[in-house]
Amino acid sequence: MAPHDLRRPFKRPAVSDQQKRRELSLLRQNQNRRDAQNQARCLASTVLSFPNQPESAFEPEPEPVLEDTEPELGPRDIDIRQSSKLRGPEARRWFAKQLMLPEWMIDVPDRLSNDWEDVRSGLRITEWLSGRGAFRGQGTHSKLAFLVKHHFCTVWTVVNLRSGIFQVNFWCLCKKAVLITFFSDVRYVCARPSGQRCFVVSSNGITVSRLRNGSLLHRFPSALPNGSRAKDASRSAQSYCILDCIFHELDQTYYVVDMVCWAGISFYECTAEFRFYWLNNKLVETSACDGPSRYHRYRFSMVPMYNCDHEGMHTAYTGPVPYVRDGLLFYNKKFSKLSLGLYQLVIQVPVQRTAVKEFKVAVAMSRLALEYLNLHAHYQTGNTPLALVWKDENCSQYVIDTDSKGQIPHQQQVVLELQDDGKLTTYDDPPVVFGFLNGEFIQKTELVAGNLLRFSVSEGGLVFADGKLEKADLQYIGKVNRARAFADSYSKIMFQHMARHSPLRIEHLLASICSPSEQENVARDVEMLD
Amino acid sequence: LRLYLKIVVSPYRTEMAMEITQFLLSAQSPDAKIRTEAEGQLRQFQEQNLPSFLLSLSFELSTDGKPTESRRLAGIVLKNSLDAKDATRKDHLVQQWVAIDITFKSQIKGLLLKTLGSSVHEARHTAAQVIAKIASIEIPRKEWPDLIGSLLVYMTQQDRPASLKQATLETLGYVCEEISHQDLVQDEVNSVLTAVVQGMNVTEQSPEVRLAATRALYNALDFAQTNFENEMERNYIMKMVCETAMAKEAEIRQASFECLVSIASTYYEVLEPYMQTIFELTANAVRGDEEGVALQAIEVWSSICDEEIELQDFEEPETGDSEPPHSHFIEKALSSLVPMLLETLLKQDEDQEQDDGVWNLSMAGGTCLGLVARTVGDAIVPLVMPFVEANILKTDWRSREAATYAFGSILEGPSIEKLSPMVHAGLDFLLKAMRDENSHVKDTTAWTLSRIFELLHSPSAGFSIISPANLERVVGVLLESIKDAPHVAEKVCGAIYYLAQGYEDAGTSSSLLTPFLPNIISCLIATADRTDGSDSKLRSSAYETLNEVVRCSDLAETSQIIIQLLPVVMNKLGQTVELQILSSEDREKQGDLQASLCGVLQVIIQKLSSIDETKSIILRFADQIMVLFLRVFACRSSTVHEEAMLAIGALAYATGPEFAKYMPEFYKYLEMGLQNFEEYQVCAISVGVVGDICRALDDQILPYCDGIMTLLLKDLSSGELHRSVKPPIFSCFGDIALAIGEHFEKYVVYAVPMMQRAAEVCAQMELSDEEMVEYGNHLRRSIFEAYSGILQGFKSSKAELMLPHAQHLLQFIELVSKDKQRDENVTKAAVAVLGDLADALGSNVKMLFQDRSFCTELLGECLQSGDEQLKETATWTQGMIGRVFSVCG
Repeated sequence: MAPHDLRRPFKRPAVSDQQKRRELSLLRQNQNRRDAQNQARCLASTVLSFPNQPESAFEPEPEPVLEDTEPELGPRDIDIRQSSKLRGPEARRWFAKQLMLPEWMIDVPDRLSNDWEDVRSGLRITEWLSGRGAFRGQGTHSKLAFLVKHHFCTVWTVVNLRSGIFQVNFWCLCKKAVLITFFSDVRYVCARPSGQRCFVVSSNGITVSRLRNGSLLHRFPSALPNGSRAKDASRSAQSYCILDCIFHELDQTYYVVDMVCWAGISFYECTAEFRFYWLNNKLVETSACDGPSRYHRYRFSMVPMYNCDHEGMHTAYTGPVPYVRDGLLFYNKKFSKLSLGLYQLVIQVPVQRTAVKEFKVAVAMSRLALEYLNLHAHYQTGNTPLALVWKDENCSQYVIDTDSKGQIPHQQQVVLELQDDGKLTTYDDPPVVFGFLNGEFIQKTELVAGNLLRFSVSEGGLVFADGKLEKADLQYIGKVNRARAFADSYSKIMFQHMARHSPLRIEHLLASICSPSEQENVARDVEMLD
Repeated sequence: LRLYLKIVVSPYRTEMAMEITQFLLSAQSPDAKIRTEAEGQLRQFQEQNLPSFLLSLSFELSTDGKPTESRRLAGIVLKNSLDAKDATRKDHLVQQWVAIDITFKSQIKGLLLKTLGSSVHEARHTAAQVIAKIASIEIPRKEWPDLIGSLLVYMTQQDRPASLKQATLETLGYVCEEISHQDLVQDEVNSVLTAVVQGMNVTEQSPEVRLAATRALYNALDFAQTNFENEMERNYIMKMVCETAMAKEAEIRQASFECLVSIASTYYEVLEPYMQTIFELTANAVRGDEEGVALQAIEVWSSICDEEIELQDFEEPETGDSEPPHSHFIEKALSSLVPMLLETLLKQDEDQEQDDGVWNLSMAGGTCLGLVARTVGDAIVPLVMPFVEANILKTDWRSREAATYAFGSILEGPSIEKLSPMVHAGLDFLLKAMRDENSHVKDTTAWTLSRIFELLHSPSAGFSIISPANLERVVGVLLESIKDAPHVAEKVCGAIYYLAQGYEDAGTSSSLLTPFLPNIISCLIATADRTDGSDSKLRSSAYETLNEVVRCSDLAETSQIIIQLLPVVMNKLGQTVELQILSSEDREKQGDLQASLCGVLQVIIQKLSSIDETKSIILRFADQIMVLFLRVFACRSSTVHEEAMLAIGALAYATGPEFAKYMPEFYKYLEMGLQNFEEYQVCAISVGVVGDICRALDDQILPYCDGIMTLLLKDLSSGELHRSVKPPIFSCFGDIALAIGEHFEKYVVYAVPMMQRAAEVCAQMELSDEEMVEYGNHLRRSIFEAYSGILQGFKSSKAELMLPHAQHLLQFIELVSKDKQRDENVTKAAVAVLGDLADALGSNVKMLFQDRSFCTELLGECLQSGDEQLKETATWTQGMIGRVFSVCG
């Protein structure tokens, strides 16, 4: 019989750390492996806090260079590469489609700084443009009910966290126009440089910048990939870049506010967080941020991004920037254009065991919904709530739109698009109807559908009822300049209207970044939910 | 038909056993030549005719009159032909036995059963073990249906000698230990237990039989599961156990308490009705019985503590109905139990510090007291402190030592709030006691100090018994006492170890120890150099403590001190190579010393290379360090030195590409390490070092890759190599692929099928116990890491090579993503490899990704995680998958 094992010597533990050394080595090796693989992935830990990181913290890795392979080109690739050759209306149409136009902020997003944790514990529905939505109730239940009723579907999955507590994930597919978000408000904020918003395209050894309407701004050599003939002569024709920039006249610098494509790789579907991170590294790497030289006529620069908390917003609002400030730009960190429309809400609720069966059915439903999403998610270009712009007189010289002579008109002017049926609509999807022209007037003025028309807002102004535009008193001025590519967006009109009557102030924005005590309140709200 | 023929034929064939006595005796000859020759002949016989060989062995074992030595060896060889520790080998042996002709097998079994009646005790004992081994193979297969019957006949026939009953009970015990009660019908189980328990009865005349029965019950306790569920049967078994606990013979009492120890842990939940009796029995035994019995009696309480601590540790906030109850036996018995244990502390041996193997009443009592403290927490303090206060100042050293031991034993369990004032008040006394005239008292005092520093000194967590005011005195006393007797010095090392550990990552508090470090380090080195210790324990404790001091120090403040230490340690390591080696003992001593010093070097290398400012120091010394390691390797011919290998990994990390110049010399040792199946830790570390070298050298490792990959693939296919080494090998594939990029192409045909097979193994793995779950997780993670390395390595040029494997990988990720037992590391690796697949293969895998909703679910889960790293990776992966869909519109 084996004797019972004696206990380990309680008082005589031999100090021996060989196993500990093995484990520490393993730990170090795992860490190094992760670093090596992440470096290969170009994913560094700086991704979350890049604005504060020295740019040298990241070791550049060679860009993918496709040299001797000539894969088949998709239609999109051709679009992008040939875009620099497009002219006139074609160019306009193309650019109008490609640009991500920020919505104008006309209502304070509920808790601008909302981060993931908050939302996990707080069931809060944010209405950015609640003026347009039909609901304003504060009760979380009613909002959820609204979602379930009015949108494609709401499904939920259940994860059993531990006995008795289930995590319920609600997935909600919303139309883009319904600007509701549950928790996507993890934002960046930056001071928007004053200047001309343009697209910069580098390809075939030349760099071209075009304004929103497609008209050429500059044609120049740059250090961007394939942006000049001087270097990278071997680079394939596929290596092109498309950057979303603001050209700042004073220091002749292109401030990059976003990126569409880098070295032939599309970033349409990547989150802002990822795009900025990539951009930051790549710009430095290519020395596009260097001063002008023979093969690099204009300097490129990143706009400093801050996390959208009190401090970040304050810095963006008042902190020193090397350019003239024109409002603030907010970016949604976590969402790519692809994921727009899919909002997930996570709450943890104690669920009776008996209820689990029902949830299982729901899980099956959620699969269907996700498949639906996979099939129907499209690129979201044009107006997008993923970027928001806001300004006041402290951070911009141009709070209220000026006319072509640089004067502020007496009355607000709007540009609307004439539709087949005489409706006057905004540049939104779906368009918002502001008015109606009768056939007689159209005939008399020889207008055709698609014309962009300028109106001034008369004494009657814009009248809202229940958050909905009820009446707009518009006065026809005339057709707009031919260069103009599209009508005003609803949010732009609203912003301008408010700027003249009851502007949204920085205090409102700051107040929306809630303090810790408020967060607790929110958490308590949720507990009452079940 | 074949079976029929054999049965018909068998009565007419008598298998002949060979006469092998002489070979068995020669195989034990002191003359190496005779021995080797005999071993060779036996092996030849075994290989040529296994059935006949086994039959001959059983014949030898069963024949009274044969020499005891040949019978003993015959039994051992038989046993080893049926069972082995290694699972693969065991499997092989079982298959071999099953395949043997039934005629042989029945003859062998007959001879073994006959041996139980032998007059020679050792033969009976061996036969009992062999029978149990055969039973473990045949009973689950229902191939030995009459075994239990035959054994029970031996028990019930009146005229049989006591020795047969004794051997039969022993056999029954072993058989029960080997098989599950489910392998037999319940009637048989009941008869077996009845036979065993009856053997324990007082009416049983022979003490040998009673002892054998009690020991058989010990082995049959798991087997008696069903019977323990039945209250009547349980009462009967417990009654017999309690009766034997009071038997005349100490051996029987001890065996009975061993049963109680096992019952306390196996059947904790039904103990309640017996606790009063158990307490009385154990109290009497602890106070008055022989030491062997008393130790087991204490062990009963330690086992109960173990159970209750486990129940407390794994207590779920929401209790389900299936959880076993916590009966709070310790809490209920506390007021009587603690005084009983305190008494044992006074029963020290005069020279208990000299011998590590000593286990006596005082040690068992102190250990149990420590467990009780962990079980009940604060409640123990008022019961122990009066004892401490009453004894700590007595003139008798036993009282002072016992008081100190009691105090040290209860430091884990009670709350900091409860302990803190006591320890504050007592610290100064303890420091003074380091000058006690008695070395036992000093030993225990130093141990108590180390416990205090381990448990009540944690500046990083905001509390510490040490203040800037008393630190100097503490260090002064420790460095004075480290010169004391070796056993005291060893405990002092422990105290310094925990003192230093407390200051790890302790912010500004870390600086407090810095001024003392030069002195501490030189004292530790002086201690390691001492020659008055009986073994190397003190030296290795001193070096391990030095390691901890270096590891936990604040590098910004201590870099100069550590830089000065480096050449000192290198010098010492250099001296070991010069040592004169005359015997294998010398060789072993050299190896131990080198192990300690390589350990120190590794810690220093890792510490200094953790920041760029001091990394250059390592680079400056790298050549010399590497030469030393190579010389250490050269001290042995067939194995590589594990600690040196471990240190080389750290060095490769520190030097980076520079390491290339050492490769030509080092490579052969790396090969040796990768082939070391027996010492699997060495193999595992060598695999890890390959990874370090890959990251250091990048594609400069290419010339060595054929050799390395061949060995790694061989390791993977080996049934001999410990399974824990296999996951690191997969991770290592990833390391190599990432380093050599497109050159990994030629290994894909070998490596990827291995990865796929391993993935399939994961899918089928039965995750029944925690260890398997952990292994399964490790394997999954490493398979993902292998894919990640290959995909990222191929990304820029050869990605399409992985296209045929993409579907398999995706299926594997899906499978893993649906497993709820996967741990966070697996999730990280899974989500990363998902991104790698999308990143490397781009739109080629669009179709594969299209109908995979699990990706969205997995990403959703990761994005909700509180782990920033995981969220970051998931964000990246989301981006990569997004790109897959964007490239072709």
